[in-house]
Amino acid sequence: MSETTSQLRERRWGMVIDLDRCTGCGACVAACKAENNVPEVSRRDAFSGRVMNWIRVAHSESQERHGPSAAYPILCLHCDDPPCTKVCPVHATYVGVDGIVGQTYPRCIGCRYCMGACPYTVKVFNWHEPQWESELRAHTNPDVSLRPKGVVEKCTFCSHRLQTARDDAACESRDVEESDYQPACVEVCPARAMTFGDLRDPNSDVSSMARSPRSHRMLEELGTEPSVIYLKERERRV
Amino acid sequence: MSTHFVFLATCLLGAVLPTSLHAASPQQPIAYNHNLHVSELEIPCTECHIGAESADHATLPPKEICATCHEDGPIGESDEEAKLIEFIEGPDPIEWIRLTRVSEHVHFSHRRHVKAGQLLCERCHGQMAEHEVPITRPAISFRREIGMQRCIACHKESGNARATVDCVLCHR
Repeated sequence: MSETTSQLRERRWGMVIDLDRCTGCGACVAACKAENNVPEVSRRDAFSGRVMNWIRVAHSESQERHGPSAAYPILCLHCDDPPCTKVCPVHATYVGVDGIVGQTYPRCIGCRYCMGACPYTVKVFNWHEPQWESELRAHTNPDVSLRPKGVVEKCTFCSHRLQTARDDAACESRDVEESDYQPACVEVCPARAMTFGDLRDPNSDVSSMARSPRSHRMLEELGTEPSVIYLKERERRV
Repeated sequence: MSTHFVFLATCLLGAVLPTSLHAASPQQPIAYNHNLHVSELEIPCTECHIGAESADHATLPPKEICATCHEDGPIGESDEEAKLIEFIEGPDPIEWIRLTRVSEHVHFSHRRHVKAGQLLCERCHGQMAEHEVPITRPAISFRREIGMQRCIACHKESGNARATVDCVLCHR
């Protein structure tokens, strides 16, 4: 294995979400939709539970009367041992060299096994051809495909941005640095609740935050080893 | 009787079909001579297809690029150059007809291959430098000659560690 391939494989892109900082404003949701050409759905589909989002913000109500509610951004957790890739009959979803769980839309046959296997329910199915208001259609991101009807889609950690960062680095004969690549949700978070970087680099911000006693992974007991790590809320006094 | 009918029908089809095929083949606004520019004058491809080293799309040259050499009037006596001068002096852009296209679901970055990968243009586009008149169909078809198998074979043979076979590297 050459040096660069080895370096690529040693990377594991991951995200730390500090729930103490998250205000649940939804900027990440809007940024994700715009960046990744995630289409709007009709009111009828929305009521049927077919809302298309690659990231959503769940709100948990406090057990205490007048207690604070907690916002909980949920996106594809890019597991190291993902259940979704194991059930895909056509290898449309797989763990990539950087630990990013990729979704190859032209390969997807829309069987939705992966949606059933994902314990975090972060994959969404295209029930219809993507549709936008006429003005918004002109503003879709050319780096990201418009997924057709009948395929499953999900967060890719904005991997098209990683491709651009790789190209930039390759043209300058250097390796990709952490600062070269940030997903859209991390970039726009006004509360700086999201931190993105290389989990294998012990000196990175995400690594040190992941080692925090406040850190936990969603449904940790399943052993899926997610790359998205949450920092627990501290005790709050009302 | 029926033999005569078949014979006549075949003759008629033979006369009509080449005409209709000819009508379907694209006619470029100027019969650009790649051989003259690339082989004889040794102008690199990236001099005119300016996006090849800096963007995803190699781009077809706008008349401003042609004008860098042809602005001060005709260099030769070709009728095609006279057409070019008309374009340069007039308000209309040159509407080149794009022949080479990759599929909608493929993300092909010219910059990645030409600048970072140091790949020669002819690996995918064939010997464009030999053509004296515009080609009417892609020198190498992305549907026939360049399929995913060839991309993967090239990535594996390249020895370039960045040329992985990760699906999302090329599939959008």
